[in-house]
Parts: sequence; C-alpha cells; structure tokens
Amino acid sequence: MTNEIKPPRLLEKILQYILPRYVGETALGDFKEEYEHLADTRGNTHANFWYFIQIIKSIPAFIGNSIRWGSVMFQNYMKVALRTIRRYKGFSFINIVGLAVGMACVIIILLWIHHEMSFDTHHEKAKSIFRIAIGNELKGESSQRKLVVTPPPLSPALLAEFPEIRASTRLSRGGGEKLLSYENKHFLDSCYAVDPSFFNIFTFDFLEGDASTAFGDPYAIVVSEKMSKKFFGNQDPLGKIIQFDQKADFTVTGVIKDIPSNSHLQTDIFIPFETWGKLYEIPLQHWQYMSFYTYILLDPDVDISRFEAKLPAVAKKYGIPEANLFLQPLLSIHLHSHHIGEISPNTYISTLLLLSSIAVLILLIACVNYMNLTTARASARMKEVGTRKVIGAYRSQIARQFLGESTIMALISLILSLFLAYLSLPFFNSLADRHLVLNGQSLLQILPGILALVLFVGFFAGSYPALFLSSLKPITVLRSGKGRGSRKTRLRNILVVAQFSISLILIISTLLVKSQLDFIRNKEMGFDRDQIVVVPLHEPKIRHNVGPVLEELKRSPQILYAASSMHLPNDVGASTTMKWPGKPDDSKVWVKVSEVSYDFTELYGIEIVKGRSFSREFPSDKNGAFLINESAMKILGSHFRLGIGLSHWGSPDPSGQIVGVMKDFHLNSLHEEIKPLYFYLNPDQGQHLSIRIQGGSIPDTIEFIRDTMERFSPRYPFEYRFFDDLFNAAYITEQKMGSMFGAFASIAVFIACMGVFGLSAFLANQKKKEIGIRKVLGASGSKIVYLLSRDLVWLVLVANLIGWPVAYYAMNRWLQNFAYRTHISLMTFLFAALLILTVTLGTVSCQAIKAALTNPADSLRYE
Amino acid sequence: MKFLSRPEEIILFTILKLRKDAYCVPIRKKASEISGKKWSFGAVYVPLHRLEKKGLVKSYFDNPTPKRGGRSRRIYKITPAGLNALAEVRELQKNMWVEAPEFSKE
Repeated sequence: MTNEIKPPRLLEKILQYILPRYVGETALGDFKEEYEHLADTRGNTHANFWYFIQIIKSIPAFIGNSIRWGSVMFQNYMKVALRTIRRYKGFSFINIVGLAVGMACVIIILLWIHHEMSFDTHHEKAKSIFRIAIGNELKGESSQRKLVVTPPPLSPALLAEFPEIRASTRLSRGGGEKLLSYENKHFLDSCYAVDPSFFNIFTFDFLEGDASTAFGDPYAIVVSEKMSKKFFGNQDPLGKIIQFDQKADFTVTGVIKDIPSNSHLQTDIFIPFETWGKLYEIPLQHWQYMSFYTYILLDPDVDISRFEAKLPAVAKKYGIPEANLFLQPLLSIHLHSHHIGEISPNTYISTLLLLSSIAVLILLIACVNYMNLTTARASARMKEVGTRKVIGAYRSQIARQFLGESTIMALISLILSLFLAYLSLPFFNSLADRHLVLNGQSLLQILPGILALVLFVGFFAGSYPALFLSSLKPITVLRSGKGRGSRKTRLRNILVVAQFSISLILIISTLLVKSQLDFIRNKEMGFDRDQIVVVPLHEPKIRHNVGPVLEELKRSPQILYAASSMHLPNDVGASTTMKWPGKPDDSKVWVKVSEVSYDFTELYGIEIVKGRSFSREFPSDKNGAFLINESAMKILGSHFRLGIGLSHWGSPDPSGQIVGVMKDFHLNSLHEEIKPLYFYLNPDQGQHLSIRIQGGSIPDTIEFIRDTMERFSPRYPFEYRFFDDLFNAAYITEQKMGSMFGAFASIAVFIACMGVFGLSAFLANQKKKEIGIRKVLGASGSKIVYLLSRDLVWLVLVANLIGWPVAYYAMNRWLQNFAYRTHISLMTFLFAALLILTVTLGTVSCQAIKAALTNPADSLRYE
Repeated sequence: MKFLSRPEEIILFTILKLRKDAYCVPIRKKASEISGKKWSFGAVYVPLHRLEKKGLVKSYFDNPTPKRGGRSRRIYKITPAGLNALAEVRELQKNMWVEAPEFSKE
C-alpha cells in the first residue's frame, strides 16, 4: 500500500543539494516520513505541494550559508595564493610577465578588431544603405572583375526605376586635389562631390547649418570642423566665400564634425555633384564613364535579395557592357569589399583573422608556461592539498582553489598587460596605420572581451594544474612527506613541444616574408628606379599643355630626361578594350592603357625589342602612335606587324599605328602577372612629370625643378617624390605585415624561453642531489650541462618536425598571393631551427652551469 | 544562569516526554500537540541544533530504515545538564506563580 510512496526524485535531489550539511541526511529522512504521512492522509498532490514548499523555505538559509562559507574559503584561498606568489618570486615573475605580455597582445588586437568592425556604424541608417557595384564577367578569364565605380546616370535612373529606393546619391572624389582659397589662405585638398540627398542618407553631425538644406544652393560648400578652423579660425564660417580651384566661388552652408577614422568615406570638403560636373565638363549622361560611386538608401522592409535580382535588367536596359549590378551593404564594405576602384584602402578579413590567431597563440604559449611551472612545482603544494583533503575538502573544492589561484594570477597580469598595451600601442599603430587609443572609453568598449580574456586565461591555464593537483591521494602525499611531482612529465613535454612549434612557425614565417620582400626589392622590374624624381601636376592649364614645362626643365644640364605621363610605370591603372584590324568583332580584349610623352621609355630605361620608341624625328607619331608590350604582341598573334593601326580608348576607327614593341615590364605590383599593355603618345597631356637626374648636387637640381614648377603652377604648392620611394610604397602593406610578424614572433620566442628558463631552473633544483653525487664521483662540468639540457634539445628537435610542415604549408599559401615569388629555401628552416636551438640552449645552460658550479658539499650537506 | 528560549524549552520537554526514539518527526508532532500550533521542520531543527551545541542534548544515528529511503534517524537524548536545565525551568515556573493575583482567560 505505502511501499511506493516517495517524494519526486528531482525535488528530493534539489532539497538534498540546498539543505545545510549538518541537517542534510537526517532531514531528508524526516521529510520523506512526513511526506508519506501526508500522502496517506491528505493525498499525493497535497504532499507534493508540501514538499515543494519545504524547498522554498530552505532557500534563504542555503543562500546565506553559501555566501558565508564561500567568503570564508575565498579569503583562505586568496591568502594562500598571495603567499605562494610571494614565496616563489621567480616562478611568479615568469608566470605574471608571460601572461601579461600575451594578454597585452590580445588586448591590442581586441582594440584593433573593435575598430575595424565599427567601420561606418555611426550612420543612423547604416543597415539600409547600400553601394552599387558592377560585376563584370570577363570573357576568356576565369576570375571575375568587379568594380565599385559606376557611371553617373545610374543613380537617377535607379531612383526613377524603383520606388523601394528612398534616396540615392552619386559621389565623386573630384579628380584629385583641388586648390581652395579664402582671402590669402590657400590649401590643397581633395574633395567629395555629392548629391544633396547625401546628407540625408549618411549621418554627419552638423555643427553649423543643417543637413537637409546644406546643398539647397548649387554653389554651396560643406567643410569639416578642421578645415573651417584652418580657413576661418574662430570666425563664424557660415556665409563665407571659398574660391574653388580658381573656377568658382562657393558659399559655406554647413560645418560638420570631423569624420571619424572608422569611416570608409574620408574628406574635409563636400561640394554639390551637379555643379562639380558643370565646372569640369563631365559628361554626366555617359553610361560608359565608370568613375563614380552610387549609394542608395532602401526602405528598411525591402527583401534585399529580391531587390538585387531586379538590377541586372537595369544594367541591360541602359547598356552597361557585359555587366551585372549588385549591392554592397555599407557595413560590409570595409572588411569584405576588395574590388577595383575602392574609395579608401580596406582591411582584408583574413588579415584580421591571421593577426588575432597569432595573438591567441602567444597567449596559449604563456598559458602553457603557467601550466608547466605550476605542475612542475606540484611537490611544493602536495602537503597542502593532502592536508586539505584530510580535513574534508572535496576534490571539486581543491580544483576550485587552483582555478581561483590562476584567475588571481590572470587579474594581476591584466593590470600589467594594460600598462604594456598602453606603451606598445603607438608601435602597433604605426604598423597597422591606425590611431587606436587605450583610454577609459575604448576600454569600456572591449570590456566584455577583456573579461572573457581573464576568465579564459584563469580557466585554461588553471585547468591542468587543478585537475592534476586535486587528483592527488592524501595518503601517498602525506606518508612519504614528499610526493613525486614529476611523474606527469609526458604532458609537460607535449606542451613544451607545442610552444616551440608555434615559435618556430612564427620565426620561419617572418624569415620568409622578409625573403619575399627582398625578392621584390631586388627583382628586375624592366624599368629603372633610381635617380628619378616624380612631380604630380595639379594645375589644369599645364596638365593640358605640358610641353613648355618639359622644354624648360631640360635646360638644366643635371636633368637627363623629362617626360609626362598619365600613370607611372609601376602602377598603370587604366584599362580599355583593344581593337585591331582583323580582330574577330564579337570578343572584347581588355588591356592596360596609358598615355605618355616623348622620352618616357628612355627615361625609365624600358627596353624596345622591335621597332622604335616614340620619336620627334617621325612627325607622323604626332598623329597617333602606339607602343605595345610583348604580352600584347602575343595577343595580336599572327595579326601583328609594325605599322598596323590600333584604336585608342575603344574608338571605332584606328587612332594610330604601332611603332614599336617594349620588353615586358611589371606594370603593376608583383602580386599580378604582367598584363598586355599599350602606350599612346600624347606629348601635351599628363598627370605626372618624371624627371631623370644625373650626378651632381641633387638638392640643387630639386631646387631648380621647384623654381620651374612654381613659375608654371604658382598657385599649387610644389611637391615631389623619388620614384623608388613611390615604388616601395606599393609593398608597404607587406613590409608592415613583415614587421608585425617579426614583433609577434620575437614575443612568442621570448615567452617560450621564459618558460624554458623556469622549467630548467626547477629541474636543476630537483636534480641537485644527483648532480652533487655525480660531481663527487668525478663528473665534469660539461657532463652536467649535457645532463640537464639533453631532454630539452630533444623537445626542440621534435618541435621542428611539427613546425616545419605547418610553416611550409602556410607560407606556401601566402606566397600564392604573388605572381612572382621567391622560392622557399631549406636554409630558412635550418636557420630558424638553429636560432631556436641556440636560444633554448643559452637559456638552459644558464641554469645548468649554475648547477654544475655549485659545491657538491652544499647540496649534499643535509641528511 | 542563562535562560532557555521558549522553543528550546518546549523541544527539551518533548524529548523528555518521548523518552526514547526522540527524533525530528515525533518531536515535531508532540511539540505541535503541546503548543497547539503547527511547527515547521525548520522550527525544530534550529532549536535542536542549539540545544546540542549547549550540551543539553546529545544525538546519535540509528540504523537506516527503508521507510526513510535508506536514511538513518538522528535520535536525541537529554544529557544530565539538560535535566538540570529542565529542573531549573520547573523551579522558575513555580516561583513565577507564587503570589500572583487570580485572573482568568477572557
């Protein structure tokens, strides 16, 4: 009858857990008895209810007890932890410094990631803003060519076509830097030309004026706070007249707060798009003129993919050639858009991932140090653990104690790491080209990350010591007075091997990045780089009539050549389709194109393999002449002859004839294969002046160039660069990446060595007696050193076995980014291995020599 | 001397009256009978714990029974000190009523 009346199992379990220990067992019995009684007399439901009420009633006491005992035990743990830190100063130092350096790396990377992820988030409607991009399927080429630049009539056409578009704007970078003048102040700055709706789509803080009315007037100009200060100081900027590029006067109608650094749009000046188009006679109705950015604001409830599917039809309708329009969400531009014509350099998400994983690896190395040193010293803590267990500690309590201890270590390291991060942030900023700051505000933003970091370090670093130490049996520990702490050497060895493998991979990667950079620097590019001065042309008048300037420059005996061109030979940016007689009409062949003046190939030392270069001696050249490179010659194939006609910028009729063939040179960065190219002779136009100088006093020659330029273009400040500097700037990303790798690799090796140092100190101490006895029996100092370092040398060798293939695989992948790359040499690997072996041996022998030199009498005196 | 609290006093009396097998369930029942009020388990455990700390009762565990889900009972016994305390309570009660004027419950 009553044999199966029992309180529900779950309730019983809960009650068992929360009842105070001193009443626990008996109370459960009592409750069960009463439960049965109630079930008999008043029914099951009543009994269950009663049982449940008992649980509720026990909760306050439970909470009170846990807090009370929790805090008591916490105080004890804290005390023991601080005592341990103080007693073993050396080990604690290694642990704290190692963890702090690792955490500092992670904190910096966290700041950086937070910055990169926050791009363009300050716009209120950011989620509904999209940029239109063009996906261009190239015939005969498997890769897709995507442009983020669009033709100017696209924006109004889309707005008329789709009611779901609330607003749209065109944006132009205005074609280079423009001269702005107010009274006698002149500044050269680039500007954005945008439609009036721009300020309604994007959110900018207007300090003066109003977003919705700023561009009511066609000659309105909006400037940033910084620009306004430069021009007007503390005067009221509204209504002031700024002369724009000597073309027109604009009235200031708004001042915006400086655009934050985490925006892909960066400028200090905005002018109305239509006005800009009129001033520069831009064909705003031209559907082939891909130079403009189109941003749209969609209704928030529009289905994006369905909307996107309607776009290709528009492309077809207006005849955007072989093109397909697609949408880029504003928020994804900075990390995910890497197409032709980006408005500002974007960050590859792979770089983000790579650097974060390196930072995490460094942190892991530091955690491994902690694990190794803590378990190696386990013998020192064994008595404590044994005693605690005898007194009645549960295993979970011991584990919690050690986890707590590692969390305390993590907290101490955190304070130090914030300090380290603060100090090293300027260095990181210079490498990453950012202006990150570590202050209260930025700290608050990454606070969740930092908390997670501390908990991760606390738990991960503490996990193995906690498991290991809490598993000790009190009887074995306490009986012998001293347990054998070094039994678990195998796992320790695995961890050490992991540390060294990571360090090795980082070292090899650094060396290979450096080797590839040297390769680039020394690669025969097909053109000269030395003693060439490059001067950008701003003055529109001389851009279209550059001949007299060149003549004037050539009067100096120090100047060998002077030439003008649309592009520099290391960065030919424009592409067009090429047409020649006999070409089948249906296919489009894309080639690189640039316009150059006479003497250009001679100036840059570009070799002519067939025919001749452009020459004044052939007056017909003036009517249209082409130089093509060998790759272009291959495309022409059997159609190629000197003297055949080509069409320039895809014009229907031939614009001139081919006069010569240039040897292939690297017209873009070494990431890319050499593409087919033609140069078109245009002696009067150009955006850059190239000037080849010879010996003599370079400053005097520069001075001469400055005088000449200031005469021809008095309004624009004189600027010049050496071509080899410009050339190297193209690989700046790789160079900075190389330095960053180098820095991280050094940190990793440093922390790993600190761990080895601590570990060998411990081993030397443990083998004190053995060493003493060996010395008494006549062992030499070198034997002792060998004895202590043998094991670690083995570990380093094993680490090489793991590190080499991984490094090879990873770096091979990275080198695939370059069309022209250095070979991965065995020497690099051997060098890295030797380096790490030397550093390790150096570290270990410090300890070993110390041990070998101690007087055996000292170590054997006791007992 | 230190006085016992009323609940402690009542619990001590119930243990005395139960003679043997004085554990929580019957103590609670008896206490409810004596006082005419419902006693919760908590109201029994806490005074019992205090009495034991004062050395007025002592407890031992008897053998577990299946009736209690395999759990043992904690049986309480009065110590000589406990008996003294009870005697003092009786004395006190007696003394208190001496010379008190007559009255009745309303």
